[in-house]
Order: sequence, then structure tokens, then C-alpha cells
Amino acid sequence: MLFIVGLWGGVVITYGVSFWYAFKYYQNLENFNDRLAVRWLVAGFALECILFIGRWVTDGYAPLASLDGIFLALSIALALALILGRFKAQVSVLTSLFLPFIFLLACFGLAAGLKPTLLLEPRLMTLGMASHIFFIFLGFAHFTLGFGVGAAFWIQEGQLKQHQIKSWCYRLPALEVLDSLTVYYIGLGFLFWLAGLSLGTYQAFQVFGKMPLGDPKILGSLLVLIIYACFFLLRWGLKMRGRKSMVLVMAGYFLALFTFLGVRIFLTTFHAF
Amino acid sequence: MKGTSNNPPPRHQGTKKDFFFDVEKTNKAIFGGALKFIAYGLNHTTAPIQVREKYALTPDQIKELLKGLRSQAPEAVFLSTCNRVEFYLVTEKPKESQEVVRKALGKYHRLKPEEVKKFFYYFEGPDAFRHLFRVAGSLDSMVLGEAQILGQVKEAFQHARETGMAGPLMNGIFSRAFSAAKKVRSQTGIARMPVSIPSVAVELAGRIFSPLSDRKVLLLGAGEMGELTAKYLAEAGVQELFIANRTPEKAKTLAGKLGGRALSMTEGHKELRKMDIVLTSVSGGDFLLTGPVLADVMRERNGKPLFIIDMGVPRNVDPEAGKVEAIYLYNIDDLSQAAETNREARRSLVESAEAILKEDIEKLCSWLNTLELVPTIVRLREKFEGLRKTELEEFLKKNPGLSEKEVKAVERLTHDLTAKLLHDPSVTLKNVRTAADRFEFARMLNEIFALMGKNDE
Repeated sequence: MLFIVGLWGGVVITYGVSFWYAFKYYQNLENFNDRLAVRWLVAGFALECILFIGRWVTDGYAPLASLDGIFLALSIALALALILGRFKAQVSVLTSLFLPFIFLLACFGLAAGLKPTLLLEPRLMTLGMASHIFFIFLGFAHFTLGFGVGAAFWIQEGQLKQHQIKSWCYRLPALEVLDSLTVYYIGLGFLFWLAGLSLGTYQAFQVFGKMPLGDPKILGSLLVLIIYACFFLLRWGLKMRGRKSMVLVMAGYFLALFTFLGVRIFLTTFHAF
Repeated sequence: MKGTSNNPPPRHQGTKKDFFFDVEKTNKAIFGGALKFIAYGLNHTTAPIQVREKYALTPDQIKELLKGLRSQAPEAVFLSTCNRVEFYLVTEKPKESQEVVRKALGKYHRLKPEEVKKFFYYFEGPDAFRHLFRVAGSLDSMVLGEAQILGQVKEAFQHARETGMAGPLMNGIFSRAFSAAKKVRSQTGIARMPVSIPSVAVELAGRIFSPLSDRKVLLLGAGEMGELTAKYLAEAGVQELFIANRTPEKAKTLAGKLGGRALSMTEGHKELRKMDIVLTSVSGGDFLLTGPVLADVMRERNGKPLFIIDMGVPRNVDPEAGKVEAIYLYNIDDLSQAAETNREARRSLVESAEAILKEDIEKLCSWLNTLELVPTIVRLREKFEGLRKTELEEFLKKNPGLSEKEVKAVERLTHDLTAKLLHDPSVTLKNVRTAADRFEFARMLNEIFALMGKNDE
């Protein structure tokens, strides 16, 4: 227990340092601050992976059945998406924009880790179910980054069109970079989401013998897939780009967010979380 | 107390050790109040171009001028740019130095020293530091936040070093000015926003496309602003530049000048769909590019953005074209407005830049204050070192049978002991805050350890 909490503390501190450098970069746009932020982010990600494996070994099951495990997995997914995105395009400001969320998730995880709460029934604690959850998390993390980058595109495009460029806009990369990064994130997110849904369907048949299609989480997830499929069809088929295509990105994300968080609050679902 | 005008201290430019000992010699005079740091010169706000241009000197002339000032000031830096001519001096006689400086400059032009006197300004002590820091930080420039000035100040300082006119004080002052200037640039971002029309156009292109190097640029017409903007784009890395003009010869000449390809106006229109950036700079007539034409072009471009910069007056591009999806249309007024907005943004950053400078000037003043005690610390160290060596020699004479290893061990022991004994007093002395305390500490140490020789007293 002490070891796990200690590791959580390490993760929070590492992300905290990364957040600090990312903030310094946002203020001064000095590249060495960005480099340090990315190094600390990678270190934090590595620590989280060790924590994840450590929890898996000690609990005998992937740590996706408890509240702190969910925060851990989400944080890992977001950090991974951010690191991969940085390899795809050297957009330094991305780190500054998304590190606060990763840091917050790590903090919540540490708080939840002090009193682990089991959320899944023992019969659902299978490798397939863990994979379903993790892939959905990965998809959601990519959609989140895609939404953030798409929103930045929306804002920057609007300012360029209206000839009113705000000073903070100088921190954003070119429209073309934002556009290709959005497509990259939504594309990867789509694949992860699809994989997560397929694994979930398989699990549902394994455990319940049927697919509960009427569940709002499942319906919402399918609708997210349809919206993003439309995004790609319109983009590649009708060459639709720019602000119009970003409307779909945003709509897709809001629905994914609602499916992810809102359904449990406002509707009834058989999903544990 | 020694005067520096008759016996200027030797110049040191290199190691920390040189710096340390030179400070001692120089400050014997400074902190009796004899030496002062002054800034004396003229700039774009005090002197017209007709006066400033007379002071444009070659590097050799600058070096010669600085050498000529040696008898007047132990340390001097001369800064000459198109907007300013300034001297930074460490001198005993500020008033006399002003006269000497004007006379020295008089050798290189025909203006009488008395005639130009009214254009000069004078700053002394902290005001002079503030002026230097503002100059280096580009807060005193005609174009606020411009990037060249820091390099020019560095170059001026380099000339002073090469002529041996930059000693420990100038080293300390200028290195702090450079670091403060860098801080201003990085922390406020004052230089980030472009303020000239062509640079705004290039900046906007960079907001849309990345990288700029593999973009195609078409210049329609051969107007002056269009040419200048095309030149800026080429400097920003654009490699494919097409120039179309009604007069083919003019297009060819311009293409040769900018490293582009000449086209006829009809060819230029045909090539529109392949372009990423279109610059129009044609005088008079109807719209060169209309909304429907550009809407057709955009249909063939599969949603790829097109940046149009209309430099013509009257306008060359139908403003309706700006409403077409993925077309970013800017005319000369839009660019001027953006440049003015950026200038305003730069002005709004001055206050925070001044705060950064203030902090660094305070640090510089604290550093200069600590120099007051340097002579005492040096004497104290010399005294202890002398005692150590004398005692060691006597000990070795009394113990001739010691092996080489034992001699080295004793040497190291005495050396470490002396260093440790002196460490805390040295640190304490450097941290003394008030001038009165510093004076009192120095006096007590001098008396207790009999640091001053008869001559020094």
C-alpha cells in the first residue's frame, strides 16, 4: 500500500515539475523549458506504467476495476496520446495546454489511491474487459486531444478570417499543422474506440450472452463512431475542410464526453463507470 | 588616493583572476567617489538625421576614437547606430569628459562642438545604467522591441574590448545589460509581433502554412510594396516564386532580382489554382481577381487554403473573395492595422519590461557595492597567505628530515586551514548591506589585522 501511494506521489511530483516547465514555456516560449517539460512528461509516463504494472502484479488483475486505477489509466492514455502527438508534429504549445489535465488526473488518482474502491464485479475482471476499458480510454484521450487541437484551429481560423489576431494566438502553430494533427488524433482515436467497442461486445456475449444495444453508453459510443466516420467521409470524399469539418470534430467530442461522463449522471446504464 | 587620469589602470579582458585584481586597483579611486559611470550621446529623439549621419564611423575610426579617450576615462564604450551615437564612460571628470568627447568626435566631421552640444543628453550613475539597459533591451529604439540593437551594443562593447577600453567595470555592467535585454525579449515577447507591413504579411503566411519553404507564391504586378513583400517571403524560405506583369520585361527583371520565374498576366491567372500565396500589386483599373473567379479556383483546390495579399490602391481583389471558404484576404489597410495593433501590443509591454530592468539594475548596484570591500578582502587574503608561507618555511627549516609526501601534506593542511578560516568572513563581508556598515567593517578589519601599509594610509 505504502509502495503504491509512494509511486503515486512520485507520479504527481514528476507531472507537477513537467507542468511547471510547460507553464514557463507558455510564458516565455523558451525551447529549453519545452524540452524539460517533455522529458519530465516522459518520466511521469514511465513511472505511471511502472505503477500500473506494479498494481497488476500485486492485485492479480489490471488496475481498471478501482477508482484510482481508472484515473491512472486515463492519465496514462492522455500522456501517451500527448507524447505520440509530439512525435507527429513538434507543437510545443500542446504540452502546455494538456499537461494540466494529466497532472489533475494524477492528483485525483493519488487521492483515490489512499482508499481503493472496487467498482467491477469479480466475474467482469477478465483480460478482455480490461482491454475494452483501456482501449476506450485511449480512444477518449485521442478524441480529447483532437478536440483541443480542432478548437485551436477553429479559433485561429476565425481570427485570421476576421483579421483580428490576438497576441496569445502567436503561440499556436499554423492552420495546416493544426488541421493535420486533428485528423491524426481523430483517426487514431477512432481506431482505439472501435477496438474498445469490439472487445466490449465480445465481453458482453461472453458474460451476459447478449449485447445490450439499448444501453445509452453503447448507443452513444456507436453514434460517436458514426459522427467521426462522417468526418472522414466528408473530408476525403467531398474534400470538406476548415471550420465546417471542425464542427463535426467538436460535435463528436461532446457526444463522446457525454457518453463517457454524462450518461452515468443523467441516464441509467448497466456500465459500472 | 590615486588618480586614474595620470596612471590609468592596466586593461584586463580575460580571466576571473585578472578581473578580481583589476577591480581592486580601479576601485581604490571609484569608491572614494572619484570614478563615475556616465552615458553621454544623442539619438533619434534629440538630433535630426542630418546630425546623426555625421557620426557614422568605421570600426577603425571607432577604435581610434576610443584609444584617444584613454587619458580621460579608464574605461569607455562607443555605440554608433543609425539612430544613436553614445558614449559610456567610467571617468573621474564627467563634465570635462563631455567636452573631450565632443572634441574627439569633431575630428570626424565638420560640426563645431559648441553647435552640437544642444543635441546631447547626459546620464550619470543609476540613471546611466537605466539608459544603457533600456537601449540594450530595445525600449529606447525608434521601433520598440527591434532585434538589431542588442547586437549593435554587443559589437560596440567588443570594439572597446579590442582596444583595451573595457575593463572589469564595463565587463560587469555590460554583461548584466545583455542578460537583462535577453530577459526582456524572452519574458515579455516584445519582439515577437511583427510591426512592418511586409513582415506582418510573412507572419500571417506562417499562421496558415507550415513550412513556408515548399509554398508557391505568385506576384501579380510589380508595385513596390508587392516586390518588398515577395522579397521578405523569399527570405523566409519560399523557393517557388512566380512574377506576372502586364509588361513582360518588367516581370523578367523582377524575376531575376528575386530569383523567381516570369509569367505573362494570362499565364499568372491560369496558374492561380496551383498557388498558395498570391500577392497583387497593380495600380489602377478594375478588380484583377473577382469573387466568382476565386470561388472557381477554390473549387479546384480541394479546400486547400489560399492567402491573398492585396497591396494595390485602388484594391486589386474583390473584397467579396474574402468570404469564400479557405481564402484569407488581406489588403494594405488590414496589414497596416495589424502592424499598428502589434505596435500597440509592444507598447503595452514596456511597463513589464521596465520592471525586469529595474530588478537587474538593482542587482548591478548591489554588485558594485560589494566591490567596495574587495580591496579589504584581497588584503586580508594576502596577509593570511603571507603568514602561512612564512610559518611554513620556518617549520620546514626546523624539520629538514620530512619526506616530500609529508611536506605536501603540511602544505595542504595549512592551505586548507587558511581558506576555511577566511571563508566565513569573506562571505559575511560581501553580504553587508549598508554603505555605512561596509565602511565600518572595512575599517575594523584593516585595523585589527593591520592590513594597510604606511604608503596605503
